[in-house]
Amino acid sequence: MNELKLVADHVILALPLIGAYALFGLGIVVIYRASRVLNLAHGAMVMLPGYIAYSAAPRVGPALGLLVGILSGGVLGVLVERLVVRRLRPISQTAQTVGTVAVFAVLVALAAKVWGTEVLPGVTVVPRHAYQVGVAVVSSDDLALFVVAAIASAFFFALFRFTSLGLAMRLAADNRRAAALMGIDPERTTSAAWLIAGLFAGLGGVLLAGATGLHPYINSLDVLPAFVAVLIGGLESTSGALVGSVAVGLAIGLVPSVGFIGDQEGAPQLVLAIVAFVIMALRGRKFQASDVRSALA
Amino acid sequence: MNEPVLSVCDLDAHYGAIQALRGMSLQVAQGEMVALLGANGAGKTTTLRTVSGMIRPSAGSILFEGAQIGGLAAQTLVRRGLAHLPEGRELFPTMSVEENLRAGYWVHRRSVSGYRSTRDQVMSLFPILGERRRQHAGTLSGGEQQMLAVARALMSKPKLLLVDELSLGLAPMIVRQLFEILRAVNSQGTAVVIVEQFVHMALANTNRAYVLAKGQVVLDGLSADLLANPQLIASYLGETAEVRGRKGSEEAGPVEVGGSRVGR
Repeated sequence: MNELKLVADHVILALPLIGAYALFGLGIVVIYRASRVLNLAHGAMVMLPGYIAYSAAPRVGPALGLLVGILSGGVLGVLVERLVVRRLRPISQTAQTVGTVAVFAVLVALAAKVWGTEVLPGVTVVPRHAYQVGVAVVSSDDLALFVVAAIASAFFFALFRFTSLGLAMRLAADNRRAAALMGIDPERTTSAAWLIAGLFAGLGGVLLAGATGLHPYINSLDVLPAFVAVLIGGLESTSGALVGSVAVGLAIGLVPSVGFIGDQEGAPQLVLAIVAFVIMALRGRKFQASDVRSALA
Repeated sequence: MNEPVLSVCDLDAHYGAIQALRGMSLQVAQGEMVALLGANGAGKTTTLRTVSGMIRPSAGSILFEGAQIGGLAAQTLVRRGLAHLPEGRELFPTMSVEENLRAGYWVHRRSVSGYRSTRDQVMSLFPILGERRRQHAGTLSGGEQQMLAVARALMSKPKLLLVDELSLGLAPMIVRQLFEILRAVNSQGTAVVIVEQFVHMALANTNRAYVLAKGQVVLDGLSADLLANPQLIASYLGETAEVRGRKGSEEAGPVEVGGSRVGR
């Protein structure tokens, strides 16, 4: 009975992870569908808005700082697509994917140069408070991450299902050439996809920084499990990405509570690697080997 | 002939270094139904693609309702009333029949009530699509997919409809049915240009026809006249011609067919 309760507590601890992975994973899926690229720069597109909000907040306050962070994520998304991914499209899909790795490296280096590699406190958007739930302590930042992610995901699905833009994006993802013949500008829907994914990355990035602090490498790499979540969901499915986020969030949140392996350093990552390996082995043919290798690196 | 809905003049088009069209010229009058015939690689599909904006022309002019449209993107031209039903149908396979039709209505999307009436009108031509409304387009039979492709193109309420290889891979009965529908659409005022391998079927269903070879027109005339001269068609189309009668023995020089210009 006690153990069951312990598990329940860890589930609560996993909620912010699930929220964060959902925000990042939905972005990765939308970009993949629009550009057929696994955006390996996504981690950096999450990290940088955290810093931008951090620099903006002292001047404009935390709420506007959050807004600036979110918008910077959107701008960053559009720029990465316009300046790198779109230009590499005529060459090959692999070139585009490698391009996103280059963007990742440049953005991380930029952040390290501008803000240094000391851990900085992220912008706290919600008043700081800690809630005791059983043995688990949940901070208001964690809760905010989950609640905001849930609202954002709902908004996201409504956008895709019920708006013309959503229909246009789904059509262009399904058949780009046919979409153009219907009167849809595929370049525009691609930009819209990167914009939305970037806004989500910015939102998640600022909240993540508030919950965990800011570091150029750590915050960028925090996004890696979201790639696993997306792969579990089949790379193209938004609802699959949500399911994958829950699975990955629970794996990372729950493994520490499992007796014989939980207290080992790196146990969650190991479990995640196994989960990812099994799922990708089962779906293997769907992805380019290079994408999978880079995602796991 | 009143003012042509489409007027193509001296059109050149390239795929990379390969020239696919060499001084292609043709005209389509309002309410007309025209066939483009020719062997593989003659430039039929390229002509349609260049007119609909999928390929940029490298020279020449394309006038649609009197306005220059050469080089405009496909998405712009649909809005003006030019619909292209491409080779291979190009449906949205993971979307439902209904969603495919909504996609076809994209250029008019602001009019929600208009959607219902247009859809019902189009669906009345293809009752089977009504039964399949929620099914994914990719799971339809070949004939149903082609019907959906035609229906989707009609959803944009085009003034000019370009149809590439309507018959490809379909049973003759379904092809006949589709041609009847195209003629019905045409009789309501939409000009239609078809590219077709089945020469007899194409000529029997159109007002005029152009025969293409090596990226230009080598023969044009009234479909009825060409139909009455199977040897002539065969001499241009060779083995691919599905025309009854002997293969033409005379070599193709300039010939008069029913008062229309013929030249090589």
